[in-house]
Amino acid sequence: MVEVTDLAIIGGGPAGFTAAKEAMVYDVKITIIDNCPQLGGQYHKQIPAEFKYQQNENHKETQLFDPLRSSNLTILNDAVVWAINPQPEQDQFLLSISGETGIPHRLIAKRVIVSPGAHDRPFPFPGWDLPGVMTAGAAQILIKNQRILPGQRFLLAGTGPLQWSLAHLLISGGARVVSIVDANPFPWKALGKLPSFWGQWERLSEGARYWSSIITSGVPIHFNHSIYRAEGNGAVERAIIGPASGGTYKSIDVDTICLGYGFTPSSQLSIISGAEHDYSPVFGGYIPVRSESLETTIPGLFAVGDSTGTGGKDVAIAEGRLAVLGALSQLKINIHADTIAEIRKQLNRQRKFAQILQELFPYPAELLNKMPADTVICRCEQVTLGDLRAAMQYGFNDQDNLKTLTRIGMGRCQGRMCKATLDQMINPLTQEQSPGKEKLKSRPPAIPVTIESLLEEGVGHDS
Amino acid sequence: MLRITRKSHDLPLIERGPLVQVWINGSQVNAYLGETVAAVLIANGYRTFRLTDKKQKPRGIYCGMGICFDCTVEIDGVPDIRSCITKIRDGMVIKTGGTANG
Repeated sequence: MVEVTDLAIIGGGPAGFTAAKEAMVYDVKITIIDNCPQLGGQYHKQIPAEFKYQQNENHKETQLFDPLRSSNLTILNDAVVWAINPQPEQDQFLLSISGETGIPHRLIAKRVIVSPGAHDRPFPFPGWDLPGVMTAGAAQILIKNQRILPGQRFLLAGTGPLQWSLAHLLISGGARVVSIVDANPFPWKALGKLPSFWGQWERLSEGARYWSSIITSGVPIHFNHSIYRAEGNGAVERAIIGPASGGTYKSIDVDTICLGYGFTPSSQLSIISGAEHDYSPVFGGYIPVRSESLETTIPGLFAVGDSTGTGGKDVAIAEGRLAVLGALSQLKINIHADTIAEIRKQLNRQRKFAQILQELFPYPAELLNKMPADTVICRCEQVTLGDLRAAMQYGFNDQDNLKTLTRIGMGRCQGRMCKATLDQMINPLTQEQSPGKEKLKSRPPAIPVTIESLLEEGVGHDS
Repeated sequence: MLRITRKSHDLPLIERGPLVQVWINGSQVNAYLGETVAAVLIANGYRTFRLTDKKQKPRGIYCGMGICFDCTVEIDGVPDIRSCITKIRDGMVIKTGGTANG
């Protein structure tokens, strides 16, 4: 017997858990499928269940997740959805899931909301595959969730306010932040947009706290600068930085380098489901085409949050609410039009703010041109920039040919670490030669799964 | 050493899970339930978790969230396990430095 649910929510981050909270009060069966041990996503990463807060402080996370207990809500943790099969004749979806004992391997859902989030956008340079170079996300998780400092002397390279927040966390944890390198200029332009910051008090006060600890600790921030190389014998010992426009390089002794160049959407699942996607140069990835109610081109399948373009937590929350109300009304539940109008208003305001941040701190795509041929682009198959440039010189400008020739994107991360860079390299070319949408080739499983979980699918699943 | 014990506004004090023992490359070390294999490796000074099989390049933790497959190690005899999303268990046997795909 395959289990059936009314509403499946994939991903337990801000978009996903807010959607569940909104739906809980109605008479529907909801299932959240989350690949982490606890809800919260990357933004509200909780400490492990085995850890306890000392003193009985009332924590933000506890307040957020305690209300998520209801008889009509099932939370599947440590479970990965690796395929979504629309079954339009039955007006439902078949989800394939992989997980430990107790996790159903198949689930039928009448409506689906995908909110898998985003991951750190790759920024390749020679040595970015050395131990000691990690994403800003990895450092955040180690500090916030594991209470571990991944090094002692840090250089943060990237762009935007998340780097300031990481610097603050590292300093709070007792690490030495030697330098922050931001590829973009100091955000003077923000002054012209002050009215849009009205009401963003929580964020502004957070920002002030970060800056105060950066200034107090005397950490220099180099705007308009980039990292060009990481060096060391077996692991990072120093970083080579310089102006983003090129010129004089400087060597800084550090043992850890954290890269925070924004995010790229983790849209593999919505791609696999067959929904239409557009390439977004801003996010370096493919984002689902959506209606006003955030439904994809597959009826009944909604996509929200950072996997649809990085808008951050508040955009994700508003989108989660809006999509779930859309899904519920398709399930013949009466939703008040005022509620929807109010969420839309909120969403537009948050989107505007996210857009300003994106404009102030864009991904420095042009820096790839300054990187030498030995820069690894595909970490799994160790394909270099030189390999790709050579193949492209012979006229192999599309994903399929480059894959066949170089094996780019064919390793175990399934392109998550190189696809954004590859897309950036081939997209201007592809569009000139064959305007319109690039044919996407993403197939199940969305993430490597064990053979065991496939076998338990039963014979004939694919037929 | 690298386990955070300071209290601050954004990192309120926590108590780790019960103390257990795990084996890293034949040496017994302390670990606390709730910690990931990657966290215990980092806390014990490990930076290289594995080598690539194509070019024997060292790799450590990179994405920290289970998608890049760089941090894989051998756990209880099973190779290619992502250390960043695997929690430790009492008596776990961890081996670093193996070669894995890519």
